[in-house]
Amino acid sequence: MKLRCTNLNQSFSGANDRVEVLRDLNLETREREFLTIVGPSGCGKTTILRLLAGLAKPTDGLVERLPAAGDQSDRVLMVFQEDNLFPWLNLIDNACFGLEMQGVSREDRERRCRIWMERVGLAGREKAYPHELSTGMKQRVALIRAFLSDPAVLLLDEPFAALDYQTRLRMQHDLLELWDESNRSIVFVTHDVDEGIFLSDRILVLSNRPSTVIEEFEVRTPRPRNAGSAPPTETIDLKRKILTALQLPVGKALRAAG
Amino acid sequence: MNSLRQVAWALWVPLTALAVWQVLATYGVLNSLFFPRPTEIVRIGAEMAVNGELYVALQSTLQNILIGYVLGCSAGLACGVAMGRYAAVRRSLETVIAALYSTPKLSLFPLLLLLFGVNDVPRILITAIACFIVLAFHGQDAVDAVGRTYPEVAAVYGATPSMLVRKVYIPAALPTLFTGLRLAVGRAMVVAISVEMVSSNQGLSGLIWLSWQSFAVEKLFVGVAIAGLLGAFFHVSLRWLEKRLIPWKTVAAG
Ligand SMILES: Nc1ncnc2c1ncn2[C@@H]1O[C@H](COP(=O)(O)OP(=O)(O)O)[C@@H](O)[C@H]1O
Ligand SMILES: [Mg+2]
Repeated sequence: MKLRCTNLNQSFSGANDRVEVLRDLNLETREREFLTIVGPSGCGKTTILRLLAGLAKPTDGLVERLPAAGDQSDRVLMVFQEDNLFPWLNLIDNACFGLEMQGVSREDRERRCRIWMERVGLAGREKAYPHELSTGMKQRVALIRAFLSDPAVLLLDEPFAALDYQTRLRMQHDLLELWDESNRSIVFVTHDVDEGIFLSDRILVLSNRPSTVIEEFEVRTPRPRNAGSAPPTETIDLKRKILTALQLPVGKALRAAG
Repeated sequence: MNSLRQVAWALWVPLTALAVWQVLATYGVLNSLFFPRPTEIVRIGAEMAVNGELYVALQSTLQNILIGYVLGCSAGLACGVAMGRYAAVRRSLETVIAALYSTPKLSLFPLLLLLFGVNDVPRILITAIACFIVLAFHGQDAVDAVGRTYPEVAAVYGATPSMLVRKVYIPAALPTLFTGLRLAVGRAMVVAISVEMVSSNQGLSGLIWLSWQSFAVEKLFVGVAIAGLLGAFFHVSLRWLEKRLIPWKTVAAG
């Protein structure tokens, strides 16, 4: 399935003014694509995902779901920036929430869930409640829940922003693995340019508010990608271009490399 | 094992105080005319329990508290939820509820006596009003505590409206709701026992008041002790219920 936004406009009325967040934004996802959206903080990245997820209606414009022939799933799922897990459910019930909503029997959903829990190192913690876990563990469960529901498109809103560097690297790796097996499209929001380059096939750069897509980059680094490998010059060049598009100061090292 | 320890922590202060009192009264340091020995109070209490005196007093007080509590809390909760859900209801009632929250509810009692006569109806009503205000206040808070993200997460996963209520709204609201329910128990007891004192010679207050008039000091203490035990009983029951219904909050506290 593909998602398409046409001439999206979104504004919110505040106490005594109107904030124009999106202006004539166009984007289209591709099949099985890892698409990243980067943009300055507060520019409307979360707003875009909420519109894509169907959680909000745009002030103006069109959000369409374009199913491909042979799609088994028509779900568009979103992993939020925070508060993803229900504090009142233990880990396994949280992870199985999507399956439960689909009417999968308890036995069946727990069996499917345990495989994933083991894979990301959460075996034995199934009965723990979210407040007993680190942020990284919670985000892992949120990802498992999303992948278990087998979405056609998965929307991820800065899912690793609150994590320390090492946990983030591990999670990026886990995410790529999960995505690789599921063969679905992902729309990934981040403010971390390196993260975007490491993960994605394509990167959209947003402007300041009222925001729109100002640049689009293809990332051609072959997969599987490895966090340890030194960035090829192509990657450095890409980073320089994205930082420039974001109107951020480009460091000496990057300038020299470019 | 763990619960035994909890009981020990809860009881050592009152038990020590009683033991000291017992010793002081036995050796005449405390005037036993005003402070009879605790063992003596227990003996009189047992006597009253056997001859039914205690039962009659408790029955009348408990009836007022329980009926008032259930009525007031249910209506208050309905009102609080409506305020939390609908902006118009909130704007209309918010200030009134906030004002009533800190008004002594007892000041309404004479009016209720005028309207309904001197019987249990105004006593139950005033208890219900006290609970109503607390639950309206905290019920609204409980709806607010649900927040925006949790219902959205559930909606993204295709939860039906009834699923949403059962799986998200109720569990998300429960902790705040319990704060209200606990506060309301305290208010209900204070109000119910106070109005008994000014308007009847029944119930626990009747027992305490009549004992004072006839200088039956032991009975007076029995009445006070029962009121205290009643409070403790409600507190412990609600805690127990809370642990059952909200395991994710109480697990950490142990
Ligand atoms: N429901 C809303 N009501 C009013 N303003 C909102 C709402 N949602 C977002 N905004 C505003 O829109 C802007 C963009 O928000 P957001 O999409 O969260 O940005 P980002 O995720 O890129 O940091 C912010 O200025 C925010 O205050
Ligand atoms: Mg955001």
